[in-house]
Amino acid sequence: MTIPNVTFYDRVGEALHSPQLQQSLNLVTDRFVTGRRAALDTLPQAEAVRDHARRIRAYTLAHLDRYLARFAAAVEKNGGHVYWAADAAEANRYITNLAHERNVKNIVKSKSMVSEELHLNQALEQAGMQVRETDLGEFIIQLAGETPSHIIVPVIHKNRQQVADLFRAKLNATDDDLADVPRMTALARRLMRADFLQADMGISGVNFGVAETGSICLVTNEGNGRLTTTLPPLHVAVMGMERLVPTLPDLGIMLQLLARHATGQKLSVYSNIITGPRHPTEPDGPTELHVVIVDNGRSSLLGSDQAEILYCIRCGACLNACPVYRHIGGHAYGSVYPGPIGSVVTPGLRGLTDWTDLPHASSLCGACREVCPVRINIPRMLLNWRDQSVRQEPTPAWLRWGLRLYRFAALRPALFHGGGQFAAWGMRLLARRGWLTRLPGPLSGWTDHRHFPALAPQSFSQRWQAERGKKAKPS
Amino acid sequence: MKQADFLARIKSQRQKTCLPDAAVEHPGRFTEPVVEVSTADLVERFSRELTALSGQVYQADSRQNAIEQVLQILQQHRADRLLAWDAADLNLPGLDAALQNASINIEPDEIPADGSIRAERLERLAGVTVGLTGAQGGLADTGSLALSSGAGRGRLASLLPPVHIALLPRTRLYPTLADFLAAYGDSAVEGSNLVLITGPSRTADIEMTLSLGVHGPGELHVIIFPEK
Repeated sequence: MTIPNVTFYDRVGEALHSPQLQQSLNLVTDRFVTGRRAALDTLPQAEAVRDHARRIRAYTLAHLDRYLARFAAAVEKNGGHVYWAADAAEANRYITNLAHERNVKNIVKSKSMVSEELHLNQALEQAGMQVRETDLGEFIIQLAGETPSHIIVPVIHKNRQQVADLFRAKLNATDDDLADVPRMTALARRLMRADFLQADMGISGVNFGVAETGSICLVTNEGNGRLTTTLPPLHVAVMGMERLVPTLPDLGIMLQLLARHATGQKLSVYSNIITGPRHPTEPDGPTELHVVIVDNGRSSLLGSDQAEILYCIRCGACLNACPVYRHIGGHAYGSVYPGPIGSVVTPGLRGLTDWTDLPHASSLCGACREVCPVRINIPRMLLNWRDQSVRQEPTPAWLRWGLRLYRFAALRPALFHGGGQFAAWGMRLLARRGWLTRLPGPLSGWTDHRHFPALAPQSFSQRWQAERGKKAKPS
Repeated sequence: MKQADFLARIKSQRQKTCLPDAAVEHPGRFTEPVVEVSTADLVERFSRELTALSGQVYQADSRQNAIEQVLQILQQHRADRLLAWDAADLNLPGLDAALQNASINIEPDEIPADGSIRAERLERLAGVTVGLTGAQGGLADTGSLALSSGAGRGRLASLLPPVHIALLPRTRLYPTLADFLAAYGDSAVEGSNLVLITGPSRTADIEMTLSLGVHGPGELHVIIFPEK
């Protein structure tokens, strides 16, 4: 992850001024929000299922070392290999070395957020391998040289025309190929099918690992996840260390919730559960399976009071519900994981210093917590980060003195009332029709974008006393 | 990193924190009230769910009828080659003979790990239009199929061709995924691959416009048939 040299506020400004982006964001997030609600209505006892899922996630993380050991033992018993990667460098080195050893030239990949976090593609390409992203959205993004802007629909920021232009420029697509969306999809299918058939290695993420059976579960709608883990003779699965559930029935619970919260489906089209490499009696499937378990900052999160964020099952519901994400989109965050979840995870994985803006990119309305399948208290953690960032950074002198002055006045009722009256009088003098259009100094940040209401002629405490006086009189 | 070091770090970290709602014991299975449902209800629900996802469901009233249905779909696609599971796993005695009569060949589907035969065979299978499989289960509440890999049960038949026909005995319908998993236990993952298929392959990545068959089969036909 490179720290972009434009600021968070530059990116937000750009996003807010792009009518095309605003339209795309509205279309997708509205559809997903309604879809989620409708899909949850079809799940009997949905609220109890969510509580149960939360307990499963909490319990697993509280016993994570034991379940990881059990999971690894089961993977190995099934004939797979396990590699423990402390950070991105270790994970990338292991996978690149493996590719070299097996003389791999062509790699197909199914969508994986953890591989984005590792910058795995870059590492493999630098080592001379061809990497093809095969989720349609990721395929488009790879062609454009961009990054995903949503966990579930990575190409949310592009409209059809932009994709068509890209296909024309990069794939020499004809007008016929671009006549409608299904035909554009068919073109992508043809190209990627050829890649699949000649790939020497398939790389996937892991939605869930099942500790008892050593299975990994991979969820896709397109089927690229299945092709990636079936056609090439070698399958590498990259898994964030927190992605475990103890048993198969636990997995069943998670799958029902994941699809409903992500896209409003009851189940995704393909829930692919892989238990070891192909058996000698089976006709197809990879002969070799490697599971790379990645820490990369997660254990520090686990040891902090932000550990609850590791319950996340990466459904993206909090993005769709967040009024901030819905306006600024994923790229404005500048991080691999956008939206409310990203604003908590990113400072945790990458350090707060470079990412202090993200926890502030929230109105703390609580919509994220409400829609979260496992009810993660995201607002609490955003506040935690804000608290920490305030403690880390020196407070500007004007704010420090301002607050001291306020404290001095607030502790002296007479001075406070007098000051309030004076301020109300002053503001009314400067205001036009009850609104201030310009505030001085650092306060201009407010009036640059909206007016500030002048103080009411009567203060709350004055009204309170007057109203109470009225009430006390017998009617 | 060594496993021991990796796990030791996690242990020391998790002991430092208090995870909200974490119990000492596993929360157990989610218990739903047991509702008796008839097979007819399951068939109806399965059909309704899968049809809503653009899947095609046929309710055959006999095995013979199911065989005819398979042939009809093959004819529609002018298929003379098939990527299929072994006859034993299709549960339709007489299907083999019927396919032979219709001069439809079943492609060898064994994919060697490497070598030139591998590339050649894949290239050949890539041109097959129809895949034919059985199923270990049907999940009524989502309209899903559960397919498990094994000897004679390849993964490619339900994945590579643009058309997938699945043969589902009525007795293998379960109300929910939980019921299916409860019935099979860990033997559900005895093979290296268990896949739950819920409708044809789909994407809506471009402007939320639905396209079917982006990678997997764009057509899914499920033929439900009685045991006798």
